[in-house]
Amino acid sequence: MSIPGLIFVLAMHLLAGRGLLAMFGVKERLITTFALSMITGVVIDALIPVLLEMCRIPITTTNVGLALTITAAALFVPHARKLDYNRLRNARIRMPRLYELIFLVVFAALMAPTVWRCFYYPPNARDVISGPEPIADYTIKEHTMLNSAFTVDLSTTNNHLKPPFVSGLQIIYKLFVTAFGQLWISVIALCFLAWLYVLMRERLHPILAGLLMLLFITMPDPYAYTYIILFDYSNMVLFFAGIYYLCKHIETRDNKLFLYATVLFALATSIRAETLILLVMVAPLPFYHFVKRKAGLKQTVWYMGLFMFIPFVLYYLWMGLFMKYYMPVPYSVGQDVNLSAERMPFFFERFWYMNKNLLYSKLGLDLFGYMYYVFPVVLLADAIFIRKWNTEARVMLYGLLILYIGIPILGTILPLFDLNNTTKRSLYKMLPLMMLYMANSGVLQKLSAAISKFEQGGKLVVAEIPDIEKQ
Amino acid sequence: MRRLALVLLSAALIFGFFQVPLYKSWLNGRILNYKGGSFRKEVHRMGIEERKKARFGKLYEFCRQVSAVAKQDFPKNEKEQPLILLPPYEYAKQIAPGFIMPEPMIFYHMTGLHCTYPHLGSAYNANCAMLYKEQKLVLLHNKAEIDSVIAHYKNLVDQQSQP
Repeated sequence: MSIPGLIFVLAMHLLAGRGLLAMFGVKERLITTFALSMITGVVIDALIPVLLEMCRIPITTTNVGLALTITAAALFVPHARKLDYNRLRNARIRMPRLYELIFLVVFAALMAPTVWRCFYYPPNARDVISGPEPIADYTIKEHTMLNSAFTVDLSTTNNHLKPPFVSGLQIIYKLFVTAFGQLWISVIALCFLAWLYVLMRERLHPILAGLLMLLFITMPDPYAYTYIILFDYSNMVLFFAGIYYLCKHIETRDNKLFLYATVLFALATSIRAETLILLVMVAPLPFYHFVKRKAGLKQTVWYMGLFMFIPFVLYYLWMGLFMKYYMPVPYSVGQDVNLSAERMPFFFERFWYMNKNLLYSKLGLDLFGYMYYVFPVVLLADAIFIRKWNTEARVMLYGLLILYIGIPILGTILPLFDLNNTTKRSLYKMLPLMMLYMANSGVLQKLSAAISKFEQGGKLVVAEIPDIEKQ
Repeated sequence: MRRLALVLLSAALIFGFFQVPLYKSWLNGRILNYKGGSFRKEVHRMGIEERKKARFGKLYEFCRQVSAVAKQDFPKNEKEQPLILLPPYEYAKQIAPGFIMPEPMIFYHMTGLHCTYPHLGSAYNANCAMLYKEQKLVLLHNKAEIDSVIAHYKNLVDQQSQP
């Protein structure tokens, strides 16, 4: 493994992602800023090899290194002088309390094997080794993504047609970091878990936040995808980030946060193209809020237009341009979409089997642990005892509804969207939304306040963040 | 004193969590057994080839064997690259239980060589065939020869399926 290569690539991710945050004026705690910068930086950089290919520039270590540097510089330098570096200088890291530290040590122990596995083993998911992985390997040998991997009989696979997210990152990490690439999924997973923990911790006492995080990390199937490279874990992270910043926009009415959310959704679309269909279903939420706050027709149309247009650009980059004008094998999106009315009954069938086979069954437990059981219990408890939801909880519930209905719709109109693989992994997107809902749950917040009260010897104190000073 | 109680509560909750059968078996299978067993072997087995063998097992072994035979037996002066006609998927049972024949893209990924199967459209473009049992590569020059190899494979599968 090349340590200088790893440091270079991570630095490029960080600068690109930090530049993006600064571009939209997103101000967060230091740890959140770092985590979000890394996550978005990884996804932005994934597009570099395909953009080089579209410009007919040979994919070599030098060219990719230059492209990574130029991307990071283009995003970061315009905002570099405006950033408040005193935040870094003045940041004081406080030691978490012992009861919190116990949880953090357990999380570290659970996640260490996934980083090792990422480093040690080559990728082995069938969807990767029959498409993105050989494309990445032969790109490095032949300096082009349109390489000899396309000369084999492709009648047994369609994985060479999948978006360039995995192949792009595999190319970058194989060139700069390790022979098997892959470590980018560790970067995404660890940064996401750190961010999710901060979100939970801001809303709940560390013991409750820790317990919910334990429930999240130990879900057997999503845990496995923190070291098996595929598209869905990363898509889940970006989709969640989009919903989260959409919620922040609704709370603050800051249109820059709306645009940042849109870019996050666009990045999610660059990972899995069908995210675009889910965005059509998400769109009524911001539209309703633009109308509700009387933003005016011009502004509403402009922002809602951007909400669909920006993700569409990234979708079109791959599906419309690269696939049509560069890909050596013919492909038409139409062949994978079935919008006929005859498919309608299939929606109900898919919805039924998604619940019966994947969510509430022995298999469901093996895939997601008790997550899909705990969430409805918390929701029911809120409905019975509290009957009040804050904006964040409502937005999360809306997002969950979109996915709960939207995923079977995807299965209905995309015949290749099967139950046991694609639908299963699509359900990941619901998981962080459930987590953030539970962090806002009235019942859990009451419990959290009670623990804080107990800790303070009877004085009621809202849970604070002890580890990183609020910036 | 109250903080100590919360420390004990945290520890008890984590312990209790991993006493739930589902999480207990996950922890033992995925984390504890791995750290205690496989991980110790892995740190002493750091070569790229060793790691590929450990990950892909029989699949990698099969691909390497076919590749070695092809590289040895395919004429060096041939202008064409070998396109190897491999035994049908059903033949996999003879190689190992649970073994799945590599599809052409995966075979190319593992070996850098092209392959095809009797049921694929490219079967009649094959210029050689792998007789796996005999560990031998036969050159194919025309449709009749390809048909005879396909018939040979079919016989093998039929023999295999007889009780």
